[in-house]
Amino acid sequence: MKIQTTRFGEVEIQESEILTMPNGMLGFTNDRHFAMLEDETGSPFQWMQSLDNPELAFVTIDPDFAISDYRIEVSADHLKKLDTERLEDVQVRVIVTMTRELKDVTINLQGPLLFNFDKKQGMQMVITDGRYNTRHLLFGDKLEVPVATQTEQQKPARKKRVAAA
Amino acid sequence: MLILTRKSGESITIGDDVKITVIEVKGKQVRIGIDAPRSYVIHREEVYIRIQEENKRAAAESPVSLKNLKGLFSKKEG
Repeated sequence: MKIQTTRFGEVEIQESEILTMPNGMLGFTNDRHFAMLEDETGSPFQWMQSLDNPELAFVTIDPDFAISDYRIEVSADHLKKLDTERLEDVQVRVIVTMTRELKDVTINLQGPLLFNFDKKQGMQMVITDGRYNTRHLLFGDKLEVPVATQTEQQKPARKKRVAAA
Repeated sequence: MLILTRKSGESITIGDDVKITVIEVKGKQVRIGIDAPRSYVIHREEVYIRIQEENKRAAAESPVSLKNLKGLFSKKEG
């Protein structure tokens, strides 16, 4: 099927790729359907494009790329909302807030996104224990690294990042 | 907004399955207990608003191209 987007024009997606977020996202509760679009540059970012609003898209990233010891507690309720009983089915993404200056780009570790890509269900979780905030610097001191390096990005082996509450 | 006056130990019910109880009033702080089905998401408002605002900021500032960012990740996990 074809979807209309403000940023990317008309995009072809499979119906099987449609993710449903029954509660939407905080502040965007009318947007329930999304599709993950790979970024054209092959970067580790993915666009989470709303199918209900052509203008709405979030930049997301697998937190494994951004922070080494990110741990969140997934409860039985979360699993139920994601239509599974198994922690292994849960994938985590965090939302990237872009800024004019690269050094100011942040990720929201306090409101991660949980997905069950098999069942096409997603939700935004809220972490209230104070360990994480909404504006964690994505690059930190990594901007010291020469930008010109062109090594092909390897996806890290999936770590056990989620733990049962 | 509906405004009700309650004393410590008194409750308010909302529908059939939500009960809010004033547990303790001490100075400027009020301790509140909430009985609700687990499927109800309950947050302190400031946390909710912070994440809502960050979602809106992220949605507003998403660029079309991420090209400049690609190289920055090549040394990660190394």
